Amino acid sequence: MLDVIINVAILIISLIIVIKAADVFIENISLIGLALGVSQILLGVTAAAIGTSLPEFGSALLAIINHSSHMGVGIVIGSNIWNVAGIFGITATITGFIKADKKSLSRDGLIAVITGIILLFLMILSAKFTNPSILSNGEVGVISHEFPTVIGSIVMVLFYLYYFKVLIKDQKNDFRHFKKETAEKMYEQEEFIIDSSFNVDNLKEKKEKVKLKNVILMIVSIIALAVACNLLISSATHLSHIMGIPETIMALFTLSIGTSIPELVVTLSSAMKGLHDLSLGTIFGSVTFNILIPIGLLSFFSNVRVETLSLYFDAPIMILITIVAILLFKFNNMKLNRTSGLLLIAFYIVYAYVRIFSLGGI
Amino acid sequence: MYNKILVPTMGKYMKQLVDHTLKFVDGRNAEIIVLYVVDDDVPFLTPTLLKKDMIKELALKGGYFLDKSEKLIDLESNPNISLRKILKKGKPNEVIVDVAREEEVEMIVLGSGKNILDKHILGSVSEKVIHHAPCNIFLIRTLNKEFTE
Repeated sequence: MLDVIINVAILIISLIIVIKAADVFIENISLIGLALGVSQILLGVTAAAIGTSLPEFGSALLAIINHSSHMGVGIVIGSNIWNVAGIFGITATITGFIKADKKSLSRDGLIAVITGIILLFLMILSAKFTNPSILSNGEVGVISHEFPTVIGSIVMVLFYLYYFKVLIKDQKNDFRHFKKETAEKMYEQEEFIIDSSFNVDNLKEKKEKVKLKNVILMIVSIIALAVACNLLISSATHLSHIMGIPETIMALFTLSIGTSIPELVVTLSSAMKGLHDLSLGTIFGSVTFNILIPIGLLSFFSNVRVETLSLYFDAPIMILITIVAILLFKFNNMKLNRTSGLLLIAFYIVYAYVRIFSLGGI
Repeated sequence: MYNKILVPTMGKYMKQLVDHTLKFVDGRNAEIIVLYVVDDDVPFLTPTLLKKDMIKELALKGGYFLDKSEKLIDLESNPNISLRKILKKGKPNEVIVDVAREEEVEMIVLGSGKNILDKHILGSVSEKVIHHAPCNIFLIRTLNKEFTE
């Protein structure tokens, strides 16, 4: 019992450190980037895309390094199912609705679905090449770094880079048409009476010198992130052994929900403030990043083990729920209303029940 | 009487708020202060850069809505109105009450806003302002589906 309490405590503390360290790292690397002349738009898009997904990336990376790569894949797929069903569901239920812009939904939603299909295709292809029996029995299989996985990894990373380029282009257009004009007006003219606590300078691109403090914080935070991710994975592994829970279940639910806390708080609070674009972008952006970068990059350098159930059940569910969420938006006048939100939550509960109690071996 | 009126806006129902305020003023000389409050309250573990992004986005939205309020008031057709636009950061209900007190406004024009279910789940800025305002409130029954964004 004491062992369980200690490991739960380590898991919670390391999770908080992972999230905070990822935050400090992204903030400082962004400040350094700005000082080095990287455009604010590029940094903004990077921060939005990676900012909330770094905990998933770090823990998936550490899981793969620690030879628990099926946990890494579990974190990625579990996070994506939770992001779409759980976080969209909770946000729409609490705020009443999430509004989608037609262009963003078509772009980000479609990319998220294609990404899921690429992952599923890669998993099937790799399983066939490396261990055909995985397709017929329940054993853990391997995505090896042999052909065709290397090709798949390259495709995934290139696909992400393409998506990233599209995001930057769209952000530039957006900024040009409406935001820059307002920002200039607010900055240049005395037309508004603006709170003294407001840093209007933030509305404009501003270049400063690289500060040693930022470099130190960046290094310290990346070390803290690695150490905390390691602790997170090892405590989750210990807990699963002590409690007799399969490691994949631990990854699919505990770790994925835990590492998705930044997505939850950003999506919920931005929807409450009426920033629906940010809510939508956070979820679909994370879903895309979670698959393409951790799995894409890591399967290039190392073997990635995948459980058969992830191949046959979790990955198809992930794609299905993303399509369902997009359709719910489309058939409700580009809004995800409270009823749709409750439907998504119900979907997640049924999925979790079936996965844990019927298929997961508990 | 009621020569200084505060109209807080979050962008929604702005046309309704402006229309009713102008009807209320009814050609008399009045100073209208339109206020947009950037709600900077975010939960624990929100990434810092995304919090900054949210505040920046809301500030830009605020600037846009304040400009829009000026267009809706149409100062050329209403020369009796003098307009001030204020953008502040903080908790909306607290800032609205503070501005009303500092500016010694005589009336605050508010929208009734959310439906009863949303009010229970999310809370209501209008209800909080009503209990702490230093002046009278003109509550406009805003309809949920009517957006002026």
